[in-house]
Amino acid sequence: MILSPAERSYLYDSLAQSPPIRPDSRSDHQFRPLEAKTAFLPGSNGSARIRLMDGSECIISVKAKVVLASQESSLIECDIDIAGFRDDSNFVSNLKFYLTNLLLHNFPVRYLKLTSRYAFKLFLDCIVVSHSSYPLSLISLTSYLALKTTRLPLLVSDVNDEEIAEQPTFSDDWDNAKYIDDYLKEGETFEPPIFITLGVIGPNLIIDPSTEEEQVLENGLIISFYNNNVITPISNINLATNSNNSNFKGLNRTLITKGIALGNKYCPAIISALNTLIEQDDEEGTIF
Amino acid sequence: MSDRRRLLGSVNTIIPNVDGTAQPAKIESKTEPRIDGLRPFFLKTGIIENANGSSYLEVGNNIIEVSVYGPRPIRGSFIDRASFSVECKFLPFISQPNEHLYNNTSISASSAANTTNQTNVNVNGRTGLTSIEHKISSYIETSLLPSIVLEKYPKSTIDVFVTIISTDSSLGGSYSDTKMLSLVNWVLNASSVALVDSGIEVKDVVTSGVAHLQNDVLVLDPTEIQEKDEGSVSCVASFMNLRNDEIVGIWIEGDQTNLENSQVDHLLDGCNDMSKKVRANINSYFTTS
Repeated sequence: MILSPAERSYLYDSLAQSPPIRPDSRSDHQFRPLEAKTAFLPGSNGSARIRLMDGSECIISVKAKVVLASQESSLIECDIDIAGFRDDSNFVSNLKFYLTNLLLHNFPVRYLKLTSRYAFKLFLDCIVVSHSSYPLSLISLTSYLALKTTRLPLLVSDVNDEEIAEQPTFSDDWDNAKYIDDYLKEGETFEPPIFITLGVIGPNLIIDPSTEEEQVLENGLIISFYNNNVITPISNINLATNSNNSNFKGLNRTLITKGIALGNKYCPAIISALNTLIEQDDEEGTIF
Repeated sequence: MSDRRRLLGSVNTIIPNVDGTAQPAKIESKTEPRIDGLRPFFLKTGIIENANGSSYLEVGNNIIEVSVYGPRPIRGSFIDRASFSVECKFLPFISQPNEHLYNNTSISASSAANTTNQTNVNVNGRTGLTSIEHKISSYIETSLLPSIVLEKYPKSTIDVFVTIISTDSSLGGSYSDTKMLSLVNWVLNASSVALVDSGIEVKDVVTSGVAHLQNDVLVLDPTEIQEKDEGSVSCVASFMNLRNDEIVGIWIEGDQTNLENSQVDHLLDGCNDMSKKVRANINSYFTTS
C-alpha cells in the first residue's frame, strides 16, 4: 500500500509525538498480536507456525541429520523462502544472512554433539506464506518456537568413540526423544536467540513497526536478544521496501543506546509470552 | 517577481547544514588502552572513462574499485526522486570473508579448491550475487541513501557498482567477522569517494570507521586479531561528520554473551574518530589533486 503525501505527513507527525500515537493504538513497545502453533509437522523434529492479525504467516520446520562434525562448517543451516520473491533477490538473501548469522553466533551448538565424531546438524526450512511488514522478527519468533520444540532422538550407543569407531544408534521409541532443553545443566533454560525490529522516528523508537509505519520511518534498527541480554548482531536497515522513502535519514547515536536499553527491558516479556504459548499449546488442537 | 506582501527575509539566505539537536554529553573516557594506527591507503578517482564517477582504493591487500553510473534517465512511469541501487561483487576467484558459512560452499569443497589455489569453487559462471555480496550491497545502499539529494534527480536512476579485486587474506582465519566488517568499511569509503567524483549532489560525504574491542582494548582499523576470544566485539559505523555525526550505517558483530552500552559507546567513539581521519584524508585528496 502506498500512502499519499497527506497520509504520510499525518502518520509521521503522530508517530513523532511523545509518546508516539500509532495507527493501531499500540504503545511504542507493543508487538502486534499473533497466534502460533507448534510441533504439528509429523515428519520433522520441530515445527512452528505464526500468524499475525494482518494475515502474515510463517512456517518453519527443523530437521536434524547425523553428520561427521569435521566435515561440516556449521551445525546449523537455514533456508528462507518468501512467497512473491525470487530466492536470489537481495531481500531474501539478506533475511537469510541475518538469520544464519544470528544462529551461528548464538546457538549453543555444543549440545548437538553426539560423540567425538558425530553430531546432529539442524536444518531450518522457513516459508513465509504471506507478509506485509519486514518479516525478520516474524521469522525469528517462529524459529524460536520451532527450535524450542525440536525433539532429537535419544542416543543409545556409546558416547565415547575415540578408541573404537562406531556409528551412533538411537532409541526406536519417539517418546524417549529429548528436547534440546533437556541436555542443558540444571537451572539453565534453552532459549534460542531472537531478532526484534525497531523503527526510528523523530526522538522515538517503536517496536515491531507495521507496514504503514515502515513507510514513514527515518531509519530502522535490528537488535538481537539471547539469554536475557541484548547481543550482536546489531545493525541498521531501511525497512521500507522501496528506496523512495523521503524521510529516510541518519540516526543519532543516543538512539542506538536507547534501542539496546529497550531490548533489554521488553524482550524478556516476549520470550516469556512465547514460552507460555508453548506450554498452553495442546497436541490435539487443529492447526487451521 | 518577488512577493512584496509578505516578509520573506533576504533572498540569498543559506540554511546551515546542521540540525539543532544537541550532541550527547561526551562521557570522559578513562585512559583506556587504545591502538589508533590507521593503515595508509591509496586512492585515485576518475579512472573509468565511461562511468560518471569512479574510484580505486588500495589498503593493505584489499583492492576495491567503484564506479557510479548516473543520474541515468529511465523510461516509463514518472518518479519524483531518483532510485538508487548498489551492487557489490567479488571477482570470481577471490575468497570472500566467511564464505563457507554463508555461501553454501562446504569445507571439503573449499579445501579441495585451496589445494589448486582456487578458493571459490563454483562461482565462475554464476549469475546472481552470493549472500555476502548481497549483504555488503545493502549495507552500502542503506548508508549512502540518506546522503544523496535524490529529489534533484527525478525520472532517473543512480547505480553504484563495486568490484572487490583483492581481499586481505592475512586477517584472522577463515572465520573472522572482523575481516568482513573491515572490508565493508573500506568499500563504503571508496563508494563515497566515487559518488563525490560523479558530481551527484550529496548532503555530506559519508565516511566510516571500523573498530575492534577485546579485553577493553580498542583497536581502530584492526589488521590482525590476536587469538579469538570470548567477549570480542567488532563494529563498523558510517557517519555524516558535518551533519552532527549522524550515524547512517551501523553493524556490530561479536562473540560476547552480553553487550554493554559502554562497549557500544566505546566502539562508536572509535569508529567516529576513524571516520574523521578518513574524511580528512579524502578532503585533502580532493583539494590537492
